Amino acid sequence: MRTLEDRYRRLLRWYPAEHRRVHEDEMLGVLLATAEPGRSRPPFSEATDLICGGLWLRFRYTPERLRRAGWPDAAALTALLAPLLLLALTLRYALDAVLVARLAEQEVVLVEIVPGGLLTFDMFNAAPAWLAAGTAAVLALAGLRRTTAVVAVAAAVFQMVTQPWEGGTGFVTMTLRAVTPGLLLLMLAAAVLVSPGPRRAVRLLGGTGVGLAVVAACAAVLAGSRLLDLSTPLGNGPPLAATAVAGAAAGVMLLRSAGGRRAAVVLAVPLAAPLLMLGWRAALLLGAGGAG
Amino acid sequence: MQEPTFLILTALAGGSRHGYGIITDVERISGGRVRLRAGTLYAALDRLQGDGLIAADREEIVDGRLRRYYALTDTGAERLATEAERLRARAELATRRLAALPRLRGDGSPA
Repeated sequence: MRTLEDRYRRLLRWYPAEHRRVHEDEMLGVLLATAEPGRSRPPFSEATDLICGGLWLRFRYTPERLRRAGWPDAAALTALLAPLLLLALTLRYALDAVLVARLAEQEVVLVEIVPGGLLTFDMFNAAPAWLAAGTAAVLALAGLRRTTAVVAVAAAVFQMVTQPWEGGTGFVTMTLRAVTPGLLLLMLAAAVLVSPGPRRAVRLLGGTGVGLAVVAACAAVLAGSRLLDLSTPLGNGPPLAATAVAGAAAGVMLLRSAGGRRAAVVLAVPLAAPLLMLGWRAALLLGAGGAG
Repeated sequence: MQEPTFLILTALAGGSRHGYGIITDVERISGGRVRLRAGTLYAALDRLQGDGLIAADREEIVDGRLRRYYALTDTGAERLATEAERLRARAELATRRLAALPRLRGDGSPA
């Protein structure tokens, strides 16, 4: 049968392990000394107080703790790199839109030439959302924090609410079009509000790091677009390679600092979203196949 | 400074105390009005230690259980003195104004 001490010990599991290691025995002594005689269960108010105390110690984030953990640096880097990624995605869209318009002028049957669905209907319906995303990115790089936050949140909502329903062309395309920019925009909105400024980000990443990130973003525009894919024999190979090399080099420079590592994790979420969606879809298909 | 913090620092101004000692002393200082619970006390002790206002003083084992004593640091003593002075000035002002109230002087006219 459980004793009062056992029950208090269970409640103390709400505290962080480090705190328990130092204070558990001492706290148990206090709890048992203040308990009413004959009691076998902790009073509700005492249990609530212990749970609240444990949670407070687990999740308290003082400005000093946040600074030591590198979160302001992560915000500064996110406020610099998220706009670059958003601009790359927007420019990729713009290139494809021009391409589709040209092909349409030539009355080429687009669906046959571009498997995966570069449908004119899809392309041009997405224009306002991409325009908003691109605007937020430019505002962020111009240093207009509050305006960026407002425009980015509005663009994210617009992107996430409207885009998935526009003539679906597959899970990955849908995610790249809606979820990835939507999440990037929300992260940008949060980052610009708490960032100590772009100078801090440039100092952390270094001039070379910033240059490499810009090169990777520019190469990614070409790699993601269908332009080279359709117009040159080498296709997307060279820009894809350039993206990988410059991106990896910039990534190494990003991972040098604690703030950079946190920014990398933050930015990996929207970038990994298409892969997660692909995995989810594969699991669904496998499940359906298994059921059939 | 919040009242529990003030009371904990005041308890420790009387000498180093262990957790249960602080709870009983705070209850006595506050005239039975404030009874700290263990969760609240240890969250406050953790914060005060982090701010450098108190420090662990010594440990002893009583009935097989650890007792850790906490003591006021110099910074803690300074902060408590500042807060006590602030409260004293406020209380003095309140007392002066109350003394000037006509109805308390027995004039019978409204304030």
